[in-house]
Amino acid sequence: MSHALLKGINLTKWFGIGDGVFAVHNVSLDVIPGEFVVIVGPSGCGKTTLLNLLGGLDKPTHGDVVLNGQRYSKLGETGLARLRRRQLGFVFQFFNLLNDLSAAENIALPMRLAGARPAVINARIEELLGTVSMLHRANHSPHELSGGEQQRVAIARALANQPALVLADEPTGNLDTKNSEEIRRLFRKLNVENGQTFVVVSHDGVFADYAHRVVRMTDGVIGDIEVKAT
Amino acid sequence: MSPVLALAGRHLRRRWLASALIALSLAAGMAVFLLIQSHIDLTSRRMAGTAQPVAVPGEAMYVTSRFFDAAEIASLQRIWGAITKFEAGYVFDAYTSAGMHRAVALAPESMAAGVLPLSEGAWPAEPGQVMLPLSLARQTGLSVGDRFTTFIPAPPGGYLMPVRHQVVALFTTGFGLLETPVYSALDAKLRPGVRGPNLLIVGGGAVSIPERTLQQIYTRLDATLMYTSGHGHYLAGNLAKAALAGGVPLAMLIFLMSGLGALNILLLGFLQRKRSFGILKALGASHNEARAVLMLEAAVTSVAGASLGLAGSAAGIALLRASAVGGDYRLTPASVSLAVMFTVGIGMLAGQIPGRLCRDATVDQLLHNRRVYLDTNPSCAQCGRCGGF
Repeated sequence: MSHALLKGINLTKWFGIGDGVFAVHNVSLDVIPGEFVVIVGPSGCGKTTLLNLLGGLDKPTHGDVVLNGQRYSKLGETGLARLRRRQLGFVFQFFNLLNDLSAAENIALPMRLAGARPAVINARIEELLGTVSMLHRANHSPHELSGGEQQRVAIARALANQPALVLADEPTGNLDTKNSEEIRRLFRKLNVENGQTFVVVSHDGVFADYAHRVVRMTDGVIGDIEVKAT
Repeated sequence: MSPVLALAGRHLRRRWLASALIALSLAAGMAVFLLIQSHIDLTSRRMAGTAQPVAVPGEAMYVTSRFFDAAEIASLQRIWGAITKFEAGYVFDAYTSAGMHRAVALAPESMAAGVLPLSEGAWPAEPGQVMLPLSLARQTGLSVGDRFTTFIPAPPGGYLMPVRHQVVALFTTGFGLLETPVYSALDAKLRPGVRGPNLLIVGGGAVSIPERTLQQIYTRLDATLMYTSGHGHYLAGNLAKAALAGGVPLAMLIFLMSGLGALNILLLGFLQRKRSFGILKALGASHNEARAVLMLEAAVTSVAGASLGLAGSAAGIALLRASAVGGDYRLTPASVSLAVMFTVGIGMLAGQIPGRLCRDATVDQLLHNRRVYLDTNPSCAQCGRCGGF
């Protein structure tokens, strides 16, 4: 078996609201390099919470995450920020582009945070905009772009620093059928052609068709894991 | 360019009106501070220049201002009867109130008159000539050249003798900063229910007054201020203290208000952009980098506010110098440095709260627009009674 890129170890997240609730309970999940994992399940089953824990956006009540040998619990806030900056890419349901910045500037932001040189940034922006077919919209503000276009820019931004892993939370949840299909194809292309590792949380059943593994969650725990033929 | 700089710069440009409001809020505080400070500075310079030679007429001067009933008037008259060595014509100037108006006038010998700028007329040269504060002249309708009658307690009989006076000069105390505390101090011992003094006496002795008599005046007239020749700077000092006592807290209050205004707008700027800061952190910005965006915005608007405040106060000073108030108003390097320090400091302090909220909030709180709390202790969020931000 290949060495795991990402290891979620006994992850538990408890929210102390009211009587308290386990959003995620004792979940372990490994992801190997180049893998395309899709997490599915009904609303409120803890998919997004699990993704946030895997991405270091939230801290588990118990358990730990290891990415490329780096244990999140051993990293301080700055270390975790550095890890997110260099090794992780995020794609959100609502695109989450910064409205003050143009499409190209949004893509440049993670590279700027990583301290890349301007020449490198500019070349990479052009390459990424080409990959997501958005070169003609480089200088447009997010509010001038359609939902599908915004999501493509968000994907380009997630790939900016050539992360080891891209985590996507309902990337087609806010898109129409046509745009959803384009985004799914883009993910598939990046996975097959570039070997990009993806963990995608989705309601979209079609996404599961592209996955190497489909993780089904119910009530904060993993129900079953389906390994698909690749 | 650093992403912190780029984001702060972009925000300030796009939300220029909000940025301008923060700067204007701080600028207003700074300008008012500098104007008050320049007035205090002017007053101090005037006093320093005039208190020395004027001193006290003769060997003693006293100021009495309060409500006197009939028994006290009689007592007063007995005391006056005991003082027999004042020069004729300069012994007393006493003025009664006219209806609701406070009758305030200063004898030519009074040191208080010596430190106040004249807005019209000339110094009284003859007995019976008086100067009035501009505000009183307006209230009573008196102007230079007008004559009016007051009642002077005339020793040795102690009766009130009607005497005609002529207004020969009007004086101003600028913004009223000096008038108010001085008069308030004189009124401080008024009886409850009495709306104002019915008698103000400014007197001086050209020859010696027996110590026992001085004591008698001092102890029996509880609203009497007594000055002797050894206290040449006393009144000037009191006036300066009164100006400082009124001016400095006022300036501080204005600074506080402008700081609260800036805080309000900066906080709003953060709360409206919670999600943006969440995205920034999710993309790998450290907590301190996210905070730095807000602190940089606060710093830029504070410096802009200080520059605007400096320009505004310079214009205000120029207007004051050209106006009827007149006077050698000026901005001193010390006061400008202090005001700039205060303005930038208050702006940065105002940026601390949104900065801290942004630094301590988790990505999840910011991305999903959840409430954030100043205290990062989880029990604080669980309590949530304050409502958070």
